[in-house]
Amino acid sequence: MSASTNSVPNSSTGSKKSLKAFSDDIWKNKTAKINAELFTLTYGSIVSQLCTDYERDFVKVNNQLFLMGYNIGMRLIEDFLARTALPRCESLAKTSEVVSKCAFKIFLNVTPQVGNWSSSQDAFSLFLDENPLSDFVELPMDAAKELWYSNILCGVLKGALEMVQMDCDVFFTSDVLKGDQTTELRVKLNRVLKDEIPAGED
Amino acid sequence: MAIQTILVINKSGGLVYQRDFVPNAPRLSSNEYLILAGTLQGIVAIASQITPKSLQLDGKSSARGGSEPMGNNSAPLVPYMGTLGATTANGAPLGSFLGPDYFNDAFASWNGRGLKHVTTDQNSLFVYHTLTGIKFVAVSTQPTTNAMAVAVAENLLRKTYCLYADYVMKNPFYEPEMPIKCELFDQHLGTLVKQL
Amino acid sequence: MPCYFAIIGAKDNPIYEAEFTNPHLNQFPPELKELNPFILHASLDILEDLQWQTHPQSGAHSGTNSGFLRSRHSSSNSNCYLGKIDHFYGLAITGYLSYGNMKFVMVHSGNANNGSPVVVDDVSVKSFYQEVHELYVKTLMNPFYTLNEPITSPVFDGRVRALAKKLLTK
Repeated sequence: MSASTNSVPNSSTGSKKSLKAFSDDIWKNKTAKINAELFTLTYGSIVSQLCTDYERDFVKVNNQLFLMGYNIGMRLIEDFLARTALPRCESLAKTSEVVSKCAFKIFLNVTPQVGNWSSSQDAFSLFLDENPLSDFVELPMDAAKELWYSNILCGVLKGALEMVQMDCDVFFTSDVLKGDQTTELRVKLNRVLKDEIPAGED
Repeated sequence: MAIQTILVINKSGGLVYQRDFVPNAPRLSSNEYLILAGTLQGIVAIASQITPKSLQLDGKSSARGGSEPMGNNSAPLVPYMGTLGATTANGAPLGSFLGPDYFNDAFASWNGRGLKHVTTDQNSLFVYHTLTGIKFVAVSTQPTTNAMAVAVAENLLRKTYCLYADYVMKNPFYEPEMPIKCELFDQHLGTLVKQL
Repeated sequence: MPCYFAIIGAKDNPIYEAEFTNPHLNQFPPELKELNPFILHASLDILEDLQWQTHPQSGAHSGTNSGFLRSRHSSSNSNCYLGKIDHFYGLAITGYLSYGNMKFVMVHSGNANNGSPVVVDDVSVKSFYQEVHELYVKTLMNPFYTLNEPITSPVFDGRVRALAKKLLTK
């Protein structure tokens, strides 16, 4: 039995659901929720505390957020796989779809747009129309230049993709908080860590 | 048939968790378990290399050119086993999972051509491995070659994986790749196996 | 009619101030303009007295019989508005008290040309306060804003001025 590009196997009927419907179902029926404001405020207080602790050295703050995200991503990927049991993505196009439609949907209930593919198809961008991390946030003047407020997301993606043997660079290229038109998150695949793919798979 | 032992093996082949569920069953020493885990890791790797193409389940040979990114991974669907250890029966919450069960769809096994099931004249051993390289192993008290039993084991082990995601990986004090000493994981795994 | 609005913190420190005028109407006379902050601060005493009273609203509200700060049965912020609390030579002063003890106060001036007395339109003034309160709460949610610090956000300022234009100096 083979699944088509967009589909995930569904047992009882043998029919195929789209990835979107599949993720919606997991989000609605299978995921415990928390209060969004509590979440936003918690993240906000972490970032502002880091700014204070690093004496407003925003490069350090970015790095620290990235590192925190990396550790989250390494752990969260197990949760994601346990929940979805999605098969390995055969191409980066598929990966981008799973990340935007499935991962962002399940964990943050947003679906970023995928676009801006590089000519060699090894890098893409996620455009976050809404960012639950940055509700209510206004960057102070001194932070507006260097701070990537939601940099934790980059770390999460980096950590998660690395655990499924994809070595990627993940970084923000624009953020509406800084006055840009869009919030753009760039994912660039360096290489697939072939040696680490568990035996029994391709 | 009952579950005698559950093992968790990390991606480098180290045993990180071992638990016996049958009190009077013959036991291996902890060192023997470590050797078993390492051996299993090797056998899985070898098995995946020597499996004849015609027996491989990933359908690589039939799909041409990979025009369908996900389509050529036609690993067999594992049917969903209904009330198997459904934890809300006694009102206990399912951690970060909502609803009456961890999942309620069939799912594709990630193990396309590796070792899935070993039967000896005393017991059977079932292997479930994840995309990140962790292996969950269950040993049953009786030998079986029944396809149903294999499916039940696969379901059980995926639920174990769900518990692992919740109570091990989300424990901030657990260091990845290290032996699992998480009381909550013990507790929930006990409940899961008991309800089988 | 021109208004002078300020938010005063829990320690009587100024958090935010703004003057709302309309070019078509008259302005605060220059000598009065400088006095506005003093007039406002003078009325804080009255506001602090009122906050412990059972029925602080100038309009005789009935209903809750506990004190203002203990009126936990009222889920809305309708009893935060204290109405006209003071006057100063023909100027009226209204106040609003948030549950976090932030004082929102405003000086209303009448039309100085014809000397008519100030009429405070309670309905629109009250809704102005409530909306500013909401904006204030949103500002509080900004992780980079510290409680009891002056609000410097231009966005907040812009929104308050837009509200004033809509409700007060129309």
